[in-house]
Amino acid sequence: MKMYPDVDVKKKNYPLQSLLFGHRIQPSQTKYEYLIEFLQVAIAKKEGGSKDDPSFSTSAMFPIEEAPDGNFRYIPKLGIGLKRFIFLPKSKIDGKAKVDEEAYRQLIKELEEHMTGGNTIKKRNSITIIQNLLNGFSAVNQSRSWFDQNVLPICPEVILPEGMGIKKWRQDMSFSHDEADVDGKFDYHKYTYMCRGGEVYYLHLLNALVEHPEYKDEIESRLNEMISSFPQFSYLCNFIKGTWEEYYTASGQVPNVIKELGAIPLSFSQRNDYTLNELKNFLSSKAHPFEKMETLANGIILQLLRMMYLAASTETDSNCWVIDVNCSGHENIEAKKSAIASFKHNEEVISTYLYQGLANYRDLLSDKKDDQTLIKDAANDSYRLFRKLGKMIGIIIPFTGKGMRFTLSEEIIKFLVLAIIPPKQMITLDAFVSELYRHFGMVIGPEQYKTEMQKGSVAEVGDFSFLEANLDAFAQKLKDCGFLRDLSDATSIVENPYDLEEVNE
Amino acid sequence: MNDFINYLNSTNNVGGNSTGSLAESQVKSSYYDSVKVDRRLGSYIAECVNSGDNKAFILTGHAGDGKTSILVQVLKTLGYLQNDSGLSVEEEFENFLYIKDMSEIPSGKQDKALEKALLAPSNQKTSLLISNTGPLLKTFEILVEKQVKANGGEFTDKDKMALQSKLLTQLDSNNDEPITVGDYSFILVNIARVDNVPFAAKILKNILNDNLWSPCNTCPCADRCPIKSNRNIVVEQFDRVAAFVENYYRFLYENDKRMTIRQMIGQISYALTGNLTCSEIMSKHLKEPFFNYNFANLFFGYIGLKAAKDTTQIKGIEQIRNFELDRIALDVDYKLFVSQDYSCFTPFIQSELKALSTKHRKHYQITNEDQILDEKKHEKELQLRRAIRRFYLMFSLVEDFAEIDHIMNQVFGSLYTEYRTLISSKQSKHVLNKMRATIFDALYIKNTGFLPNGKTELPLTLRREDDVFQNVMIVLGEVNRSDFSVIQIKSSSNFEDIDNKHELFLQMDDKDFRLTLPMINYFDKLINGAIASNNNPALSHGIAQLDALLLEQYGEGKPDCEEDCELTVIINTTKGQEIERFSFDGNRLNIS
Repeated sequence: MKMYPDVDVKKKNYPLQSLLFGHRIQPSQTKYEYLIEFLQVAIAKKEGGSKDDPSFSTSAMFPIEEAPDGNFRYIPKLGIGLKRFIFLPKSKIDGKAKVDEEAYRQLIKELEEHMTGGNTIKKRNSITIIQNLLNGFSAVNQSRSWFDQNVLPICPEVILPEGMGIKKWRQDMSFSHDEADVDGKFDYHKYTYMCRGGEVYYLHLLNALVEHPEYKDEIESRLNEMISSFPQFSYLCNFIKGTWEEYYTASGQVPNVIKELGAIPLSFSQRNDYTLNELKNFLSSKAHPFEKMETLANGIILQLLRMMYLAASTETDSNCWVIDVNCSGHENIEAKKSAIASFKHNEEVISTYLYQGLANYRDLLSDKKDDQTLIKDAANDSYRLFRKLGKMIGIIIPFTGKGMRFTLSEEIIKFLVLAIIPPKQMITLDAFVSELYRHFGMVIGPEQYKTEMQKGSVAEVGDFSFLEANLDAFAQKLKDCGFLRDLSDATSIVENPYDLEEVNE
Repeated sequence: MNDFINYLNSTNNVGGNSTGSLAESQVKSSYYDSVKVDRRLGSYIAECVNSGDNKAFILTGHAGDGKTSILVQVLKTLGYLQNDSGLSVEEEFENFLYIKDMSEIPSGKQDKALEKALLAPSNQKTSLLISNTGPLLKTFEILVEKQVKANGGEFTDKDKMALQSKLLTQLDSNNDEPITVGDYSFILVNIARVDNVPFAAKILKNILNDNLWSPCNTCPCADRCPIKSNRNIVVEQFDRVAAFVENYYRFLYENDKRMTIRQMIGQISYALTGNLTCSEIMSKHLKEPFFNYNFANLFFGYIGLKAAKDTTQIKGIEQIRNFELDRIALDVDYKLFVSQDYSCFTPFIQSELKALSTKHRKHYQITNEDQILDEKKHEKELQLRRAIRRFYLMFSLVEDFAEIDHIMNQVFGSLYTEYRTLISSKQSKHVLNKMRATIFDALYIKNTGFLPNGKTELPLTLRREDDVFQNVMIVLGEVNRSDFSVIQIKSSSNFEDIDNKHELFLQMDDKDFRLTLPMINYFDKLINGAIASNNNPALSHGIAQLDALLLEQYGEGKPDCEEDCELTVIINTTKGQEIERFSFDGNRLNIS
C-alpha cells in the first residue's frame, strides 16, 4: 500500500482500516473536533530531521518546501492552565483531581490580584463573567471531564491538543507552584476524542499543496484570518495564561509535547485539486467567522468522506452518491428507493474493498487476530463510521432506523454553494448540479444518473422522471436556503451571495 | 349557450381541454382581445419603431408571462397583424423584424438568427427576439466564440463563464439600459422580473365585461346556473373580490412565489366556472350549485366542502392550499361560528350559509370524552368552518379599504398592508420611522434577548451560529437607532407596468439592505415573543447578512494592540442586562 508520507509499512504498524483509509480515523470525534484538531496541527511548530539536531524548524502551516515528503513532527502549543480556568468549575466531577482544584483556586486568587478597579466582589464577578464568556464558546456540549473539553477556534490561544488527565497519575498528586507535573503530567497520546481525523485532513491538504503549491499562500492566510478575527479573545486568554505562568513558576519546565503525524493512502490524492479549489472558494467568501467555522466543520467531514468513498471505488463501481433530496412537499418515493439501493451498493463496494485489502495485506497485519476480527474492526472504523459521520453532518438520513440514504442538509448545501461557486458569482442550476457530480460524485438529476448507468454503478432504469422530480426538489431546497432564484422559463441561477473577503497581509 | 365559458375553461389545465393556454392559439381566439392587458414594454418597443430610434430587444421570461402577447401588442400597434392571422416563426417588415421563438428555429441556424436580430438597428430596423433562457445563453456562446475566433482570439472556459455571468446578471436585475456583448449592443428584458400583480384586477374586470356575458341573459338555465351566479356576485362586490385576489397575488409575489399572467387567468377562470360547461349545466342536476360551485370555494380549489380533484394543477390553488389561508384564525371566528351571525354578508350569501349551517346542524351534544377526542367527528365541523372563512375572506361586507386591510393583515401577516403601502407609494418620514422602530426592536431582541425598553443604542453582540445558549456575550460595537433609516427606492425602469413601484431598504451609511415581506413578518413575530428559529433557512441567511453588514458599518473593528482594546460584554441576568467593560494594561486587567 502506497502511503503519504511514504512510510515503510511494517508488520503490525497499522490496522487494516488505517492502511485503507488513513491512520487513523475513528468514532467518538465530534465535528468541531475535526476542525480543531486540524487547526491545531496547522498552527503548531514543525520540525524535521533528528530530534537533537532538527534539519528545519518552522511555524509555517504547510511546510511544503521544507518537507514535501510529509516527514516531520509537530509541537503543539500547550495551555492546560487556560483549559482548567474555562472548564473546571462547570465540568463533571469525575476527573476533578485535588491538585487541579487547588491549582484552579490559586489561579483565581492570582487573577484577582491582577485586576484593577472595583472591590473584591466586583473582581470575583468579573472573573465569572470572563469564564462564562469563554465557556459559551464550548465546542462540545457533552458531559466530559474538564481536560477533554474544547473551545471553538475563536482565537489561536484556545486551539489546544487533547491532554488526558489520567486518574492514576493525578489523584494523589499534591499542588505546588514549582512542581512541573501539575501541568506536565497529562497524556497527550491517548486520542480519545481527537482521534486523528483532523490529522488525516491536514495530511490530505499538505499532499494537495505539494502538488499545487500555487494555493498555499492564500489558503494559509485565509485560515489565519479566520482564527484571528477576534484579537480581543487572544488578549483575554493571554492575560489568563500570563497570570498563571507568572505564579506557576514550574511552567518553564513543563515538557514539550512532540507528536507524529500518521499516514494516509496515496489514493486520497485523487481529490487534491478539488479539495483545494473548494477550500479556496469557501474561505474567500466574506461570511461571519462563526458561520464559517461551523460550515467548514461540516465541509471538512464531507470532503473526508468523499475521499474515502473514492478510495474504495473501482472502474465499474464509482461509489457515486445517489441523492434523495427529500424536500418537504416534494416527496419522491422512487428517488428514495433508488438512493437507498445505491447506498447499500456503496457499502458493499467498501466491504469488498476491505476483503481485498485483507487478502493483499494479510502479512502486514497482526497474526493474533483472526480474519473475522480484523474485518469486523475495519468495518467499524470504516463504513460504520462513515454512517455516523454522514448523519452528523446531515448527508445521511434517517438518523435511526432502516432505509439509510444520502441526502443534502441545509448546512451542507451552504458549504457546497460556497465551495463550488466563487464569491458573488452565479451559475445555472444545471451547471451547479454537474459540478456537484464532478466534485463529489453526487447524482441528483437524470444526466448524472445516465452517466453512472453507462459505467454500471447504478441500477438500470428506463424512466428518468423521478430524477427530474428530484432535481426540481433540489431547486426548491436551494431556493428555500436563499441560494437560488428562478430567472425565467426553466432557467434558475445558483448564486454565492457572499462578497469576496479581502486578505489582510 | 355562451361560448366564452368554453374559452375560460380552456385557460387552465385541469381536465383535458387546455388549448387556450397556448399563446399562439390564444392570439387567434376572438376572446383574446377582450381579456388581454397591454404592457408598457409593448408600447415602448412600438414607440422605438415609430420614432426610428431602432434598438435590438431580446425578451425572455416564464412560459405564460406574456412574451408572445407583447409581440402581438407591438404588431397590432404597428398594424402588421390583422385579426385572426397567425404569427410566423420569423418575419421581417420594413422597419421591424421579429423572431417568435428561438427554439423553433433549427439549432444550426439559431446563431445566424440571433446575429440578424442584433444587427437590425444598424439596418434601420428594430428587432424583437423571443427566446427561452437556456437556448439564448447557448446561442450567445456560439456567436461570441465565432466572433472571437474570427478575430484570431481564443475563447476560454473562463470567458464562457464571464459571458454567462454577464447575461445572467442582467436577467436577474432586469435593467432597462442596453448591454454590450462583443460588438453587439442590445436590450435584454426578463419579463419574469416585471411586477405583474396589478394585472389581476384588470384581468378580472375584463373577464366580467358585460358583452362577453350577454348570451347568458337569454339562457333558459340562467336562474340555476352557478357560473352566472358567480359572475353576478363578483360584479356586485367587484372591489371587495378584486382586493382579496390582488392581495393574495401580492403576497405570493413578495414571498418569491410569483404567478404568471396565464396562471392568474387560469385560476380566476376556474373560480368562475369550476370547469363546468353550458351543456353540463343544462343537462345535469347540480346539488346546491350556488354554494358548491361558489367563486369563493372554487378559488381555493374546493367544490363545496371537499377539495376538488386535480385542482392543484392550477398554481394559484396549489399555493393557497399550501399556505392554508382558510385555516388561519380570524377575529370574527366567534361571531361566525358560535353566534352564527352572518350579517357581514350580502343577503344572497347569507341565505346560502344559513342553509348550509342548518343542514349540518348538530342535533346532539357531545358529552363523553372519547367523542371529543374523535378527530373524524370534528372533521366535518372543521371543513364547515374553513368554507365559511373562504366566504368571509372573499365576500365580507366592508365599510372602507381600511377594513379590508385589517382582514388581509390577519391572513398575510400583521405588517403586510404596511409593507404593501411602503412598496407602492412614497411615504412620509413618520411612516418610515415607524417601520424602523419595529426593525430596531426586533434586532434588539435578537441581539440581547430583551426588549429595548426605551434604549436607543443597539449592541452588536457576537453570538454563535448554533443554538447554544450564551449568557455572556462580547459586544463588538453599538449603533444608535437614528444611525440607520428605512428608505424607499423608486424603480425607474421603462418596462415596469406600475407607476409607483418602490423597493424597501434599510440604509446604513452608504450600504443598503433590502427588506422583504417574509423578513418584516419575521421581525414582527420576534417582537411578539416568537423564539428565533431556524426553520426558514432563507430567512436566517438574510438575517446573517444583515448582521454582517451592521458589524461592518458600525462594529469597532479589530483593535491593533492590547492597549487599544476595550472589551465590552453584555451579561444577561435575571434582573436584566448588565454591561461590563475591561481594558488591558500590561499584565493587568482593568475593570471599569
